[in-house]
Amino acid sequence: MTIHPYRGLPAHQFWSTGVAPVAAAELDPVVSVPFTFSPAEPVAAAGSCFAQHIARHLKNSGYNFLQVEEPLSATEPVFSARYGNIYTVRQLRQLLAGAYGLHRPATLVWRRPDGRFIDPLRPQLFPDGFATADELVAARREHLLAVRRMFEDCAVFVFTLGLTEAWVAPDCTALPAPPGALGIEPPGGEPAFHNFSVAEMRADMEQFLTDFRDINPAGRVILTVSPVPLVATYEARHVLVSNTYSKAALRVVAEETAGAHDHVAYFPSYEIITAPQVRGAYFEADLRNVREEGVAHVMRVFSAHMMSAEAGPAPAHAAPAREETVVPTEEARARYAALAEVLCDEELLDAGPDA
Amino acid sequence: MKIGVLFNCQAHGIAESLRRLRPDDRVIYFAIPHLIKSKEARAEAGARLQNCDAIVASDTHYRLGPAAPERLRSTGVPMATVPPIVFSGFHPDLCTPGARDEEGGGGQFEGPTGMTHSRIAIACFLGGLTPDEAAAMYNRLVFRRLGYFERYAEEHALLLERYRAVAGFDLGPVFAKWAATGCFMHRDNHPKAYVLHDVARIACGLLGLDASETEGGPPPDFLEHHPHHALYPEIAAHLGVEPVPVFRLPNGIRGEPRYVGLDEFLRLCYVAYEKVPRRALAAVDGMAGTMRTLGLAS
Repeated sequence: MTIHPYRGLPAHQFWSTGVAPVAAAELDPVVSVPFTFSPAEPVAAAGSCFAQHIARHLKNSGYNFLQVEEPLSATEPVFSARYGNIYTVRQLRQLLAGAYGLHRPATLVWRRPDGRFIDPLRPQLFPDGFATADELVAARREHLLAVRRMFEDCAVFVFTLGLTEAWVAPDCTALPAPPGALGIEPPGGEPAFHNFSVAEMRADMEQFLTDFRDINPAGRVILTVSPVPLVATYEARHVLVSNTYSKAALRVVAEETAGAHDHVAYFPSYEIITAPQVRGAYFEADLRNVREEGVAHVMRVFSAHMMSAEAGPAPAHAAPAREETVVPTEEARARYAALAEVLCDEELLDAGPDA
Repeated sequence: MKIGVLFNCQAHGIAESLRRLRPDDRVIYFAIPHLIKSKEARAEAGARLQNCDAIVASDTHYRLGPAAPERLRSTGVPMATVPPIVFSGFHPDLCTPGARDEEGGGGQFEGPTGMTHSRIAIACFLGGLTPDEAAAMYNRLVFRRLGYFERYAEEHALLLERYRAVAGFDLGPVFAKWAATGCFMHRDNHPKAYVLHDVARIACGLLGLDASETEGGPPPDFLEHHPHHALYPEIAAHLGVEPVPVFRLPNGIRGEPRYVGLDEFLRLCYVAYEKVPRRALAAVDGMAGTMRTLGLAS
C-alpha cells in the first residue's frame, strides 16, 4: 500500500495550517535552531540598514551587546564598531581581512569638494570629514584594531545580508556607496558596478567564515536577510525585479551557508516582515522602511528561540592543545633539520675553548 | 676525570652545567662556530678532545676534520651524542637565511637582531608596506595563515623524535617539565640555562656518570645576553604562556642590554634591509609562499 509522504507531517510544514490561519502578530516560523546563547555571552552585529534595528534591540533588550566603539552622535547607526552599514558579503569579508592587514585598499582617502577627507569605506560616518589624510588614516587604524577585538571577543556574530548590487573599486575593494553619489571624483580610477552572484557571495562567505573561525574558534554566526527593499537598482530593469533577485540570492546564500556549518544559524527576519498575513503592515508608507512593530516582532521571536538561560552546546572546534599529537610534514622536517644546523655568529664573541 | 664538550652555541652552557653536576671533574668545551672558521682550531680541538675521558657532542653535519664526532668516536673515547635543543614553537616567525646559493643569491644578512630575522618583516619590506602597515600584520589571523600556531606541536614531535633517534632517550618527561615553566627558549636555537642543565644531565646519564647532585643549581644563562626575539602575545596566549613583548638587540658598547618593541624593531629592520640586495631577501627559504599568504605577491 502506498503511503502519502506528507501524511503525518507537523502543522508548520503546511501552508494551510502553518501560515494561513496564523495571526500576523503570532507568526513564528522558527522550528529549531542549531544553537542558543545566554544573555551573558557577548553578541556583536553588523550588516545593512535592517541590521541597525537588530543591533539597537540587542543593545536595549538585556543582551550582552558587544560594543567596541561607541557612536559619536545620536543619529549615528548603532553597530558593534563604527563601520557603518555593511551591505555586501564582499564588504564583510574585506572588513575582517582589513582588520588583520590582509586587505589593503589601494585608495585610503577620498577628498570632498569642500577639501575635507572622508573614508571610502565609511563615507557617511563622519559628516564633517577629516582635516587631513593622516588624521583619517590614524582613525581608520584605531577602528580596525577595535574591529579585531570585536571579532575575537564575540561569542555570537549577527550579520544581516543586505545587497547584491555594489560598487567595486579597481583594486576589488567593495564600497558601501559610489563616490559619485557623494560628489567625489576618486583617485585611482572610477569604481565599477557589480551585481554579485550566489556563487561569488558563497565564496566570500566561506572565506569570511574561515577567517572568523581562525581568530575565534568558538564563535557562532547568525545570518539574517534584510527585508528592506532596494532603494534603487543600477541594473537596466525595474527595481522590483532587481529586488526580487537580490533577496532571493541573499536568501540562498544564507540557506546554503547555514546548512554547511553547524556554527552558523539562519534566522528568518525576512520571512516575518514580509509574510502574507502581515499584508505589508510592517512597512512604513514608503513600502520600504520597517516599522518598529515589525522589528519588535522579529526580536521577540529571536529572543524566544536564540536565547537561553544557559548557553547551548557550542560547536566543538576549540583551539588545539599545544602538544597534541601531530605527524610532522616533510616540509616541517626539512625546516627543523636546517634549524638544527644553524650556527650563531654571536657565539664567536664568546671566549671559546676553556681549559 | 676530564670531559670534553663539542656543541653549537649551546656548548658553553652545557659545559658550565657539567661543572656543577660533576664538580670534581675538569670540563673543556669547543663551540662549532669557532671550529668551522679555522683549520688550526679544528686541529687543536681534535687533539684536546682525544685526550678527554668522555665527550659530550652534538650530532652535526659540519665538516670538522680531526674534531668531527665520528673521528673522535673512532679513538675509543666514550661519547654521548645528544641533539642540540632547537625549538621554534615559541618563535615560529623567526628565520635564519642560509648559505649563498650557486647563482650567488641568498646568503646571510644582518638585521637588528643579527642574522636572525622576522619572516613577516622581510615579506612586508619586500611587499612595499610601510613599517606601520607591517606592524599591523603581526596578528592572530596572519599567524594562523602562516601555520605559526601549529609549530609548537610539530616541533615538539620532531625534537622528541630526534632525541629518540640520536640518543635513544625519551625526552618527553623532561620536555613536559620545561613546558610547565612557560617559554623555555630565548629564541629558536637558544634554550634557557635550566634546559641546557637538563641536557648536561642527560649526557651524563648516557655516559654512565652520576649527575644527581647539582652544585649551586643551573649556571648563569649565557645565551640570555644574545639577541632574541619577542614572543608575540597572540602566540603566547595560544600556548598559555607569558608573552615577551620586546626584542633584545646586541648589547650596547658598554655591554648594556638594549630592548625594543615591535614598532622600533620594524623601523630598524627597514633601515637594515635597505642595504641588503632584494635578491638576498627574496631568497629566504619559503619567502615567496609567505608573501603569497600575506597577499603581497600573486
